Order: sequence, then C-alpha cells, then structure tokens
Amino acid sequence: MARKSRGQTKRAHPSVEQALDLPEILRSGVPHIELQGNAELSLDGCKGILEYTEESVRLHAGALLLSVGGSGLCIRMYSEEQTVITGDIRQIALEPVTA
Amino acid sequence: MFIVVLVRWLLGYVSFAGEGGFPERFINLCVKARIPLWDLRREDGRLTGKTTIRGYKRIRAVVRRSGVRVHITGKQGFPFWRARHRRRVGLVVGLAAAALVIACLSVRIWTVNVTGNTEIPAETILAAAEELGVRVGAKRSSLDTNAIAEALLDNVEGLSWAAVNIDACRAVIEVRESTPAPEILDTETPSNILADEDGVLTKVEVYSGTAAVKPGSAVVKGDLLISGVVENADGSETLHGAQGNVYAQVERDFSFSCPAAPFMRLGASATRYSLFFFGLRIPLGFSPGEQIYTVERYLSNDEIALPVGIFRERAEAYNAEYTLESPTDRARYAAAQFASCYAALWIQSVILETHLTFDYASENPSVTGTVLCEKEIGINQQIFVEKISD
Repeated sequence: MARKSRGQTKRAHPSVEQALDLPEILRSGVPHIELQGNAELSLDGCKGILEYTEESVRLHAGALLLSVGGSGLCIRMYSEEQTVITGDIRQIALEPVTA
Repeated sequence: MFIVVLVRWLLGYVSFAGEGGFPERFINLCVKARIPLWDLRREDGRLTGKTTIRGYKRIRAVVRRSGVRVHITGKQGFPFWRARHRRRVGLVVGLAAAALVIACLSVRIWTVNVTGNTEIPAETILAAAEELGVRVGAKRSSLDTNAIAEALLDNVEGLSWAAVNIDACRAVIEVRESTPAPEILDTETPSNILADEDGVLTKVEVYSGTAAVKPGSAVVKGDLLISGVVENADGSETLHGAQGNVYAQVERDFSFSCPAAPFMRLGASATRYSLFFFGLRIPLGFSPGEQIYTVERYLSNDEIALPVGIFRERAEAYNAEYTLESPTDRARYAAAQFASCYAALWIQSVILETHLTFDYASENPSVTGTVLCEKEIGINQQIFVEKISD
C-alpha cells in the first residue's frame, strides 16, 4: 500500500464540498489572489515562475496559470506561501492548467 | 512591513545581479532550496534582487543548475555595519553605555507630581512623600503605593484621601483635602466688649448683651462698650457672651523721616552651582556658607520636568552699612514709609479726613500729619466668674 507523501492533503469528495457549501477558496489547488488597485498583486500558493520579464510575469498557481502584464513589474516577495508582485499592472489573465 | 525591514537589516542582506542562463529557473530553484528572495527586478536582461547572507552562501548550487552568473552589488544590514565600524571602540562603548543608562533609568522614578490639593502646599505633601521614599531616583519596585498613601494621610494634616499612582517613570500623588469644621461661636462664656483705643463712637450694633455707650460718646481705651450682664424683667441678672460691633472715629498721627542710623545692604555673597541628575547632586565648587537659598532649574517642557537640572545656591550677608546722602533720596524714603502705612490703614478702616505736611525742602525731609478714620474698636474680654455651689 502506497503511503501518502508529506504535505499532500486529502481532498474531500466534490459532492461533500458541494453539500457543505464550502467556499471555493477552501478547496485545495485553488489559488488565492488579491489585488490592491493596479499597484500590487499578492498570490497565495504559487508553484513556480514560468516567465519573468519587466513587462510580464507568468506564474503557476496550482490549477491555474496567472499572467500579469504591465510595466516595471517587480517581484517584491517570493516564497512558497506568498508571492507579491508590484508595479504598474495593466492586465491579468487566468488560464486553466492543461495536463 | 517595518518589522520585516528591521529584521532583515538586523540579520543583514545582500543585493545581487544575475545575467545569462534561465532567470525563472534560478528563482524557482532558490525557493525550492529555501533561499529567501525579495525585490526581484528585470532590467535590460539582468535580474536583480536581494537575499540574506546565509541565502547567498547557498546560492552557488542554484547558480550552477540555472546557468545564471550572479555577483554581489551591495551589502546592507547590521553585520556589515558592525564589520565596518569594529575598530571604533568608542562607538561600541557609547552604545553599551546608552543601553545601560536606559536599562537603569527605566526602573526609577523620574518625576513626582501632586494633584488635587488646594489649601495644602504641594511642597508639604512632596516633603512627606519623600520621607516615605517617593522621591526622584527611587526604585519603582521598592514603592508600596498603598502603604505610602495610608502613611501620607497620617503624616499630612488636612488630607482626607490620598493615592500614589506610578505611571511608567512618573509618580503622581493624588489627594483630597478634608473640609475644616466651621468655627463655633462661643456664646456661653460670659464676656464684655471693651474699647481697644480712644475715639468718638459713630455706630453701636449689639447682638448680645447690653449697650453701655451711645453713638456720639467719646471713649478711651479700656472703656466698657457692650456689657455681658443682662438685666431680666424680674430684676435678676444673667451673664452672656457680649456680641456686637462698635465703630468709632479714630485719629492717627503720622511722622516719617529718614533715620540717622545707617541702613544695611548686601555685602559679601557667594554662589555655587550643582548638577542634579536623578536624585544625585554633584556640587561644582565649595559650599557658599550658611543661610543659603537655592534656585532649582530642571530640564523641562511645558508639562513635564525631567529630574535633570542645575541648582544655584547663594549665600548673602547684609552687613554693609550705608546712609542716604542726598535730600531727594531721604524725601523718597519718608514718602515710601508713609505710603506703606497709609495703605495698611486704608485696608483696615474707612479714611474720613487726611491732613498732611510734606516738608521736602529741609535737610531732613519728613511727612507729618493726622488721618481721621472710622474703624471697629471693640475687643472681647472674658468675665471671670466663680461658681459657688449651694
């Protein structure tokens, strides 16, 4: 019997989550994104950076790919828990991760 | 955020720049290796950012795998600052001394204030509190505020309530004064009202007793004005405490001139300054002598005076003789003496007439004359009675 690796959380059955009417944010794999005006974006649960230039940042955020476009973009903080991007943010795009 | 910046500064951090390779891979590998990164920027193909000292030491493996060439562009924080200034012993000693002074002074009383007093002077309460240990420089932990408040009630007469509150380094003594009992007029003890000085009576007000004189009568000092002996309807007599006001016109003679005896003025004097620091007094010189007065000046703003200041002690001896040589000065002296006496009389009585002669042309100028005034002249005198038992 395979043992579950450390850090891997057991996800409740979708029907149970639906029955309990849990908010989307509590579901595993769903990133939490906060935007303060167009100057700061914080993302909880970033899995990695896919692309980083002065004008765009693409982040792997679990079930989604987050693209941030703008100018003078700076990764103010980057850790497994939280990523903060500051700068003149002009666009944000979300795409589902395809297998 | 300030705390984060402070912690980073205390631990020290390194600014770096990376070129070539795969910057995104470099960032991801850093996070995987638990190397903290912040303030990452891309500028002209370069990647700049900051990391901790320990993080930068572990960055070599990440650099190898990502192909990014990294070099340090700046070193910030306390470890680097300390390394730069390690030969400045004075700075370290100063910092240690400052820390020690703050540590010592934060456990002591800096100021003692009194609130709530109206009649009792704050100096009296402060002196009593000082005897009980509440003084500038006293250790806060050594003060038993409840016991001190109770002792204050015993030691200072006229207090009905007291509390000692220690607020950080300030001791505030809050007090409430007791209301004095009203003076009870003694109507039981038999007494007469006699004339205290010569005069012509203008008004006689009798509240208790029997009037012995009428307005218009001339009286001399010691005459009976209101008698405490009251005759009853059946012819018997009872003794009362006489009460009333008797007003009379009184004449006062004035004569002021400059005395021939010399005056005394300030002769020798000596001053000493002392530094005051949290109850410790450091004299800067020898004692100026006996009968000194002290002027205390503290470092303060409008509200709080710190226990740091400078004291000036001065001893003065009025032993130098001098005389007023010029007639003008003598005349001025005589006039000032008269004015002072006249003002005192004006407060005590109603001045009716004033006849004055100011002789300022002579060698010894003088002010002479009479003042007619109306004032209360009655004084109470007890009637001594011997009780004879049946």
